[in-house]
Amino acid sequence: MVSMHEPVETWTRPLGAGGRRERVDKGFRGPVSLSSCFEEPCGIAVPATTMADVRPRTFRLLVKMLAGIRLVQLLPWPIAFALGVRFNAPHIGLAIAGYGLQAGWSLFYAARSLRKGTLPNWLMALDVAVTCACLVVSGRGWSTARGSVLGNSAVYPAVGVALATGVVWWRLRAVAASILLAACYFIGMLPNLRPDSPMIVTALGNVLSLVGFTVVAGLITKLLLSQAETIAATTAAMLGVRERAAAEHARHDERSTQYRLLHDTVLSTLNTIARGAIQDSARLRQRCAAEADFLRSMISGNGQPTTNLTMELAVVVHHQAALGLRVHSNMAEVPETLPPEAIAALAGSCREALNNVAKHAGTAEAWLTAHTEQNGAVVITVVDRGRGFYPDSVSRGLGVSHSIKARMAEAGGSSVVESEIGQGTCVELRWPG
Amino acid sequence: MARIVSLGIVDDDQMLLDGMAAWLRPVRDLQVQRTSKTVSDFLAAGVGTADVQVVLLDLNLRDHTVPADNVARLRAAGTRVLMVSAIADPEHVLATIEAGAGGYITKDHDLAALADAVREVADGGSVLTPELAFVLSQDRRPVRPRLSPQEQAVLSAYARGSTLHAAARHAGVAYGTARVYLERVKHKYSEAGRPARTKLDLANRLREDRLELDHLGAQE
Repeated sequence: MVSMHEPVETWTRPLGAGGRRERVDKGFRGPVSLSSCFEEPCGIAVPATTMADVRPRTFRLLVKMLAGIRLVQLLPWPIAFALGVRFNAPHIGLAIAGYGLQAGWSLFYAARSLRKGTLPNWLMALDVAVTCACLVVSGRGWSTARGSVLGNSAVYPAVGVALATGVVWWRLRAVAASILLAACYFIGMLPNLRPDSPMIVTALGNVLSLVGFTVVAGLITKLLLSQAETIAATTAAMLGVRERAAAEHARHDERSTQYRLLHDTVLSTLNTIARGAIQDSARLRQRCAAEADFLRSMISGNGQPTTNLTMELAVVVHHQAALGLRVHSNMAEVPETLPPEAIAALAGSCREALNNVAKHAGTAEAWLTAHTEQNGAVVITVVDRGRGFYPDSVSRGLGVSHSIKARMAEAGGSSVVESEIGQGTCVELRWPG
Repeated sequence: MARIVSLGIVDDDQMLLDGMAAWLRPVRDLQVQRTSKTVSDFLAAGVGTADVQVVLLDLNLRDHTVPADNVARLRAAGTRVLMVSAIADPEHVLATIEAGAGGYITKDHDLAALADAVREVADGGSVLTPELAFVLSQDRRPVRPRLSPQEQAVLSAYARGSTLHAAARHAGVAYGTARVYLERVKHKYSEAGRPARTKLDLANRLREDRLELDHLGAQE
């Protein structure tokens, strides 16, 4: 017995009247490779941003920006201290406690936000609570009324908190939190407020700022997120279109080259005969039969348009026919669109099965059928009436079953090889398996 | 066997008619009696069982006649019919088989296969080529003849191109049983068209009777 397992190899064969030679891969990639563009990026950079993660990504960025703002908001006091600004705090203990608490908490808050990029509800709530406390404590501790340049040390961080609530809690909770902050600020400022004091203007400005920042932050965040989503969606759609167009282009290019080549061979055969110079010969007849087999295999019975799969099979049949194997094709309806890897596996396995018929079956005839089962599975059979073999024997049968089986399985399909001495061989390919 | 089968060919392609006649010449027991481009032309010359036993009929003629009607007309004239075409057109293949064609064969077969098919049809049998088996096995019409699961299994296996022996083995039945199943399938398909054929026969007979009566009347 002869081994049916064939290594991947490449061979050349003459094609067409002009003696054009075509390199044909007998291996895992058929001559019409559909998969190349799917394996390689084809020059298109696919961005990491997808529709699914654009919102969290934008949000993480905002959280980190808020953390940065918070750190900056702590700076005026140490800087003023370093510059020797005179502090005139009526209650120095409260002032230091207020700033210390605010600074300590804010450092923790900023560090966590920068690290994790999230603002959970508990952190927000704690932030609002601590800042409210600091607003009251610092408000009582500092006083601008006594000539101090620096006022309540919690006011600037409070603006940061207000921004954060606008970003994270928009709408109702954010407004409520900002009103609470404003109220605490007001309570802290209360001892300094007299009807005729200019402090009222400052206080009013700060209160309105707190609420105003919250509202603006909320609205901007909403707008930003929705625009980011729109842009991501548009980009994804655009890239999808470009990718498909590129893949289609590559596929079309490759295929049209293949089929032009094949049609050319049919045309050149016809032209040769039409010129009448050629003698009727066995070779000419064999070639005509081969061209006819090729055309026939492209046509499925039900008047269905030629599909990618039938095209691929036609190429396989044409190669075999050119090598002297007559392939009788019977094509029923097959799905118009199949994944490229499924088509490649089916056509490749089919090629391998036919190669084995040509080499080992001792017959010059084979039958190829394709149809779709009720459950949607595509079934292709390659049958010969040649020598056959014992499928259970260790040599030839196992070789071909293994390589075809592996190829089909890799693409999510399956295969069955049946054979019997003197009764030929049937290779059945099925996708999905 | 010294018996000679007289053959008619109906095909719209003159080159094919000439070629076919030349092609069949070496086959001693097949004699091409008449070739025509349409069934009407063929029948116009007046044929009977004595003249032509089997007609090789192209499935789709260029005069746009309905293939099943062509078969019915030839059958009514007393000849057997073997359908021939370049590619299978399942709908019409099924219709012609039900209209009483003895078989269907694609044009890619070699001379021996064609000659065997003609002899089989001439003997009143029917030819189940793999391509016909394939069309029958893919028959999804709601009105298709009902096949048992085992008949379907043998038919499908045979449709793949397997030998009958291999098909039997695939379907898990004995060789003889598989043969019987395929016979039954062919029978069911030819039976499926019988009511219509009977009606057609009846109509023909009525017309013939009337002609005869008219004829008698004219003589008087």
